[in-house]
Amino acid sequence: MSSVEQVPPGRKSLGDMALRLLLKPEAGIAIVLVVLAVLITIANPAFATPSNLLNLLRSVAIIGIVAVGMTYVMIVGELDLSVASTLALSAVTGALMTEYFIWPVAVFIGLLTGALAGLVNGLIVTRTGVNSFIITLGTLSVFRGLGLFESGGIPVRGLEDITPIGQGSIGPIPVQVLILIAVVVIGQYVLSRTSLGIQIHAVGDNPRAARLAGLPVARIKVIAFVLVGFLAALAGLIRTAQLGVAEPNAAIGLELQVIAATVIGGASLAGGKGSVTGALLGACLLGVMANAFVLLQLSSFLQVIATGAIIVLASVFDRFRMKWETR
Amino acid sequence: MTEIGGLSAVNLRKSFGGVHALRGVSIEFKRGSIHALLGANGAGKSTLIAICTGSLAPDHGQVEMDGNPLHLPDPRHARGHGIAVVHQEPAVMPSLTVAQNLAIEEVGSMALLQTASSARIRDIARAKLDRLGLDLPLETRLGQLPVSSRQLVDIARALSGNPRILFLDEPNSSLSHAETDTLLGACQSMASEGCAVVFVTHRLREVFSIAHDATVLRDGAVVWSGEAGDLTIPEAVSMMASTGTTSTRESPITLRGVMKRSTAIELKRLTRKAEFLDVSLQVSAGEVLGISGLIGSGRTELISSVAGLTRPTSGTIEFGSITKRAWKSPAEAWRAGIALVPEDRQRDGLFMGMSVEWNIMSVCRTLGISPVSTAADMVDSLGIKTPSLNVPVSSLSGGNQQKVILARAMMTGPQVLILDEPTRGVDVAAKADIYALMRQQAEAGCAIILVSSELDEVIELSDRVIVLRQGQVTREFGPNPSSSQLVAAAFGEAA
Repeated sequence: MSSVEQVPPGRKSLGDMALRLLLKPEAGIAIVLVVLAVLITIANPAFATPSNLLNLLRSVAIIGIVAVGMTYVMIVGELDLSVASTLALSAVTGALMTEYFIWPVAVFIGLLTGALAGLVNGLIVTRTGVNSFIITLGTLSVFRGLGLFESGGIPVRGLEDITPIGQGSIGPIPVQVLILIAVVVIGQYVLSRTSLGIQIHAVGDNPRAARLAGLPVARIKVIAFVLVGFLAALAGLIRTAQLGVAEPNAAIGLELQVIAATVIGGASLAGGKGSVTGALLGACLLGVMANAFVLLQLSSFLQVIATGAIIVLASVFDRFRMKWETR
Repeated sequence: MTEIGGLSAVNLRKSFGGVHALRGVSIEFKRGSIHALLGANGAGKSTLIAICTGSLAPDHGQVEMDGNPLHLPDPRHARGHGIAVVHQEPAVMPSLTVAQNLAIEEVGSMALLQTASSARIRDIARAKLDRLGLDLPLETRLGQLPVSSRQLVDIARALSGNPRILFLDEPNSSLSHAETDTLLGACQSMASEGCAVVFVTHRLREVFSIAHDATVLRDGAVVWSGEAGDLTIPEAVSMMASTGTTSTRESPITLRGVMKRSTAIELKRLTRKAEFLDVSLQVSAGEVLGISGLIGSGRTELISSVAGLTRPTSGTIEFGSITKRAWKSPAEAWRAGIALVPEDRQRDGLFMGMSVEWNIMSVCRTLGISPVSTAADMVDSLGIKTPSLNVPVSSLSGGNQQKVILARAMMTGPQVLILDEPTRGVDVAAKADIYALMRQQAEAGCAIILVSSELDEVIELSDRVIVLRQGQVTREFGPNPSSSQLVAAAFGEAA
């Protein structure tokens, strides 16, 4: 059915592609990131050393992995505040299971715990229609409490067999960074190339239209919650491997950084938009800032202020970009 | 073409809180026929379509396909039976691309992790557009295109499923002439392929040019049904207009014919881009000005600007000694003496969780306007039925809620009282009370602007009536216009 003159889609000029890339919301963060990196390197050349950069990526891995899942949840128009608690609960549960099972089974149970936590969140939110902010604020406490209860509040050993995913590296690259890259690549692929990805966007953008088009709105939302729970569990296991113990009090407050990374990456609380690569860049931006404050010996209190300011700036900028686009 | 079978509505009844939307409607939509469904605002067209497409359950009666009763618990089931609908408000996803919007149903039926390549989605989308002979930029996000594109996408999607029954509810409200022609052509070919097409539009000429059958609804009942060729546009217009047989009809407003007093408010060439254009009107103290017109004609938009909710882009509002383009805020309008009773009392009017007393006093207290009375007196004089002043307003019936919001407006002692659909969804008794109240306010020298879709109401209460169409004043009538005059003006027909 293609006519002779038609340019086959997908075969575009390099210039075209560069332009399209620049117009993407992620481009803005990438530029900020690069500029920041250059400035920091000028101030302290130690920043640009491979060992520092790898350390930086290592520190980004946990937030980055969870942020990929949070992107899914935010695109469907929901929010999950319980991710940090899920992370700790899954890690503790996995570690405790090593008493009864061989480690691969324990790891599996750990991951399953995270997915189940997400399932609980998703089912309550979609069945009752109560705002996910409130529901997950509740489960934040419930999951944290479960982890504390089953461990007696004490860090749990037992998962030493998975130490390589927290401390090892393949060639020069730490394993957790490789896992992060894999999660981002798969996450981006699913979101932009599969049926599920399109449905996730559709549900978040206009739930009524999605329902009229016959999409299973509730099921799609539940899937997003299960995914973020699973990824939080994965991050929890990486953290356990890194430290050698699973702490029931791990990662308190992490959800705020994860949401920050996701929002900086272009996601909106109103749903319908968000980007996995954007979330990764957002996590990197937070990581670079943390790193810079150490390298430049600035007060860590200032870092707290700067992180907050970046979130505000990113979302305000996004607002203007949207207005400008729809004009 | 075979004209056997189709979709039938059998004795459908539906009421919302005591207000009858459908009072036993039976219609047959035949295969291979384009059926024009006509009626003024509130005649029951949308309710009928909602029931036939599974988004509303009837109180009584059923929908039959080829004589067999259909069970339609939701829109999905309806689609399963080959019933498609294009809504007034396009059901699309603005942040998805045109292609993704068009292919969303196919995407939804794929396995979740199946690759939905953009080439494949484009192919599905292009096939749907080709069918209508349309060309839209497939890779552009729909939100970046004009509203007409959204409507076209919605239409293309509905048509592509090879529906057996296709409902089009005002599908061309934002389409250009060329696009409308495309749509009408598509409807004709759908019908020639054996589909039953049901077309609702306020542009009568268009639908008459293609319709085979027609049904006129009024007040939730069928008043005419037959072949479209047997009906002329003027006949249709006069049938859509109510004959004024409602039992609530009272004697004409006492003030009619009373000498006009000073001008209370005057609008000069008031314009707000994309909403209303060059509206000039004046209302005198003690006068009731009715504003009639179809939904979407700019009625609500106009009074929103008069009440300070939106800012006109040009023109002036003259109010007493004040002349200005726009109020700075609704508060300024309230303080100046303009009170608005909004159309949707639950969404825009009342604070549902707060008490009756709190609601009645809310505007006066928050804006520092000295109340003309006490809440208790107001409740008495309006006959608001409430166990006490302290119960939440949500516990009251619709009619009493409406009185509460009227009481709130009157508490500020307004010189201009703007009422948008003041009797929507209220029972007959409350309606009579509200009419009496309006008369009383007018007698006391208040200028009243009444916006209503109920023709009887406008005719009965207004000293003058203006009709808006597409944001402009098309006609102005003195007291007692006939309802067919109003309907004809609203539809842009000469009568």
